[in-house]
Amino acid sequence: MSRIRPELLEPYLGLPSEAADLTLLTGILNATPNWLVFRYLHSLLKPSSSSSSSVPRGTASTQGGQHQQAAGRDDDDEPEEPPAVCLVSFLRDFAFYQEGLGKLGVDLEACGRKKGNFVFADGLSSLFLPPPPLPPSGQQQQQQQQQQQWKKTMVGSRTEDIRRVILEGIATLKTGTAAGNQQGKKVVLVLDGLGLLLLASALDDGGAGAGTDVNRVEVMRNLLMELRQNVYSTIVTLQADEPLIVDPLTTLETDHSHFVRTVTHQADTVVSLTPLGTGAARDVNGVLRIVHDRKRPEAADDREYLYHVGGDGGVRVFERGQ
Amino acid sequence: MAPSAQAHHRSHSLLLLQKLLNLRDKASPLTLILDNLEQSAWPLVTEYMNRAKISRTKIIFLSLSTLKKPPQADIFIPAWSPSGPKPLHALASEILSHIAPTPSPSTSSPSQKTLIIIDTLNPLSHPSPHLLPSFLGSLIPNPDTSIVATYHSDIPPLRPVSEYAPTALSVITHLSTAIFTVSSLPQAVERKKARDRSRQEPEFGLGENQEGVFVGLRRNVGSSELIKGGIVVEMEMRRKSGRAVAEKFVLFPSSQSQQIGKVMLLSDHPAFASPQEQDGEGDGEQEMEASFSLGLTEKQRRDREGVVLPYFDAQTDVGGGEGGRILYDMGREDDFDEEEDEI
Repeated sequence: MSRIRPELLEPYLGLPSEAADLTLLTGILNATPNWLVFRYLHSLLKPSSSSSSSVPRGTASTQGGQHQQAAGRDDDDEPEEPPAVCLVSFLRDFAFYQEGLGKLGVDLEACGRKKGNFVFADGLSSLFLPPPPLPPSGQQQQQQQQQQQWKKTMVGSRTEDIRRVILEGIATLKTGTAAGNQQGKKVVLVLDGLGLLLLASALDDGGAGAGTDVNRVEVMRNLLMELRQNVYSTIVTLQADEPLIVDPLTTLETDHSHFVRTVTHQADTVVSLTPLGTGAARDVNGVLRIVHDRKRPEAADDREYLYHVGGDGGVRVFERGQ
Repeated sequence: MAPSAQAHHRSHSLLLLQKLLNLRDKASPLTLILDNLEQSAWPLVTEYMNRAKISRTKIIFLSLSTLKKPPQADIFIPAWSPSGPKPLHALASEILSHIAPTPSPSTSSPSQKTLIIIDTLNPLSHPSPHLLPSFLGSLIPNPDTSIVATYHSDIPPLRPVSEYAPTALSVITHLSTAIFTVSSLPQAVERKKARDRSRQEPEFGLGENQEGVFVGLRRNVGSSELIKGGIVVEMEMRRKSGRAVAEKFVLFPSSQSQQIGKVMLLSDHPAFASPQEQDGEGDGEQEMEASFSLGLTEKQRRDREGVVLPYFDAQTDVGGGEGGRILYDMGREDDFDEEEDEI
C-alpha cells in the first residue's frame, strides 16, 4: 500500500469533476488534518505520479473505494494544463509546507518559480502587523515583486487587504497559462486554517462603513463565496473541536460554530478526522470519515476508514478490522 | 378504523401535499423548510422546481450559499458581492424587478405564477430578525407569487442586536403558511427498528457525541429501493381558517427516469406500517396454530349436544329466587329425619 498516496483515499483526491466544488476538511487538536492537506496538494501538483490520478473525482462514486481507471477518463481529455494551486495558510508558514511536501516528492519552490502553477499566500507572518514602510526606489521594488510573485504576504487584518492578496494570487495563476492555450487554468484554492481568521480578529467590516452593524461572520461568509466564485474548486480546513462547535456559550464560540456549520451545509464533501472512540492505540491514530453532499440523496456512500501517520510522514489508510 | 375512512384520510393527505407542491390555488404563499446537517432540504426544493417547471411557473432563485445556478431556475440572483453582503432592500428590489406586475381584473389572460426560492434564510436572520417579515412580505406583490425558503435549524443564531426581540426561527415559523421538516429516511428506519425492539435509539451526527464528528454516515449501497434516497417530510399546513393539518410523508426524489418524485404517507411505508393488518371484519376468529387439531367432527358435536349436565333439575326455577334448589340423594346409611330442619 502506498504510503504517499493511500489507495483508499484515491477517489477523493485530485481535481473534482464538477466546478465550484467545496471540500471541507475538519480536524481537532488530537487529529490535525495536515497530512491530508499534503495529500491533496500532492495530488494536484504532481498528477503524473499515478495513472489513476487523472480520473476526475466525481466519477468513481458508486464503487466507493475502487477507482475506475479507464472508464472514468473522458475522451476529450487532451493533455490540458495541470491544475494550479493557490495555497493560503493562516496557521503555518511556507517552510512547513515545503518540508512536508518535500517528503512526498514535490518541490514547492520549483512549482512556484518555474512551472507557475503554485502561489503561496502567507497569512501567518504579518497578519496583524502594521504594513511595512514602502521601499524607496521603484525599480528595485518591481524586481523584487517579480521574483516573489508567487509568494505573497498578507499584512494587516482588514478583509479588503486579505481579499485583494488572495485574488491577486489567483489572477497570477490564471494569467500564467501558455500563450494560445484556450482553456484557462483550473485554479484550486486551498484555505488552511480559515477558522483562525474568524476567531482571532474582530474583522473590520471590509469597507461597509462604520455605521453598519455587519458581523464578522457575515463578512467571512461573503469573502468565502466571492473567493469560491473565482476559482475552479476550493478546499477549506476548519477546526471542529467540541467547544467550538457544540453548545456555544460565548460570542466567539457562537460565531465559530455558526461559520463551521454554514460551510458544512455548503460543502460537497466533508472529510472529518476524529480520534479513535475507544482510546489510544499504537497503530491507529484516528478515524477518517468522508461524507458526501447531502443535497444529492443518491450520491456515493459515506465511508469511514482508520488511519495511521508514521514518523516519516507516510500514512496508512485502512478499513476497520484489518 | 374502517377501511374506507383510512383510504379517505390517505387520499386527502396526499392531495393536500400535492396541492402544496404544485402551488395550486395559491395554497401557501410562504413555505418554510427546516433542515439540518443530517438531511438537506435540497431534494424537496428540487421537487418544487421540477413541478414548477412542468407547470411553466417562473422560478427566481435567490442564492445566499449556492454558487451555481440550478438548471431549473430561470433567474439567479446571488446575494453576495465584492463590497460585502447585499442589504435586504437591494435584494428585494432586485427580485421585484423580475416579477411581472399584477394584471388588471379586466384582462382575461391567466396571470404568470412565480416561485421565489431562497436557498437559506440563516444569513438574513442576522442582525435584524425583525426585518424578515417586511422583507418576505415585500416579495409577494400579487397572490400568484409563492416563496419557498429553507432554514437550517442546526446553525446556532448569532448574538442578536436586541436580546429581547424574538429569534428569527420563531418569527418565520409564525409567518409561514406551511412548514416542512425534513429528516433522513434511512435514519428514521434505523430509529424505528430500535424502538420496535425497545432498544435505545441510535444517534447520528452531532448526537454521536464524538469529538470532531458532526455529520452522520449514510450508506446507500445495500439498502432496499424503498429506503435508499428517501426523505421523511413532516408537513404542517395552516389553513386560512387557522386549523393546522399535520402529517408525515415519504418523498422519493425524482431520478432520471421520472420527472416528479414519488410521495406516500409515512404510515404506508412498509418499514413503518403497523404489524397488525387492520382488515375490518373477518379477523375475529384467528385459529391458533397447534400441532393437534382443535376442531370438532360432526359426531362429536352431536354427542356434545346430547350430554346431560348434572344437577340439571336444579336449574329449573322453583320460585325460591336463590338460583338453584338443593337436590339430595339419600344413601344407604343416611338417616332422614323430618323434624330436623324445623326451626
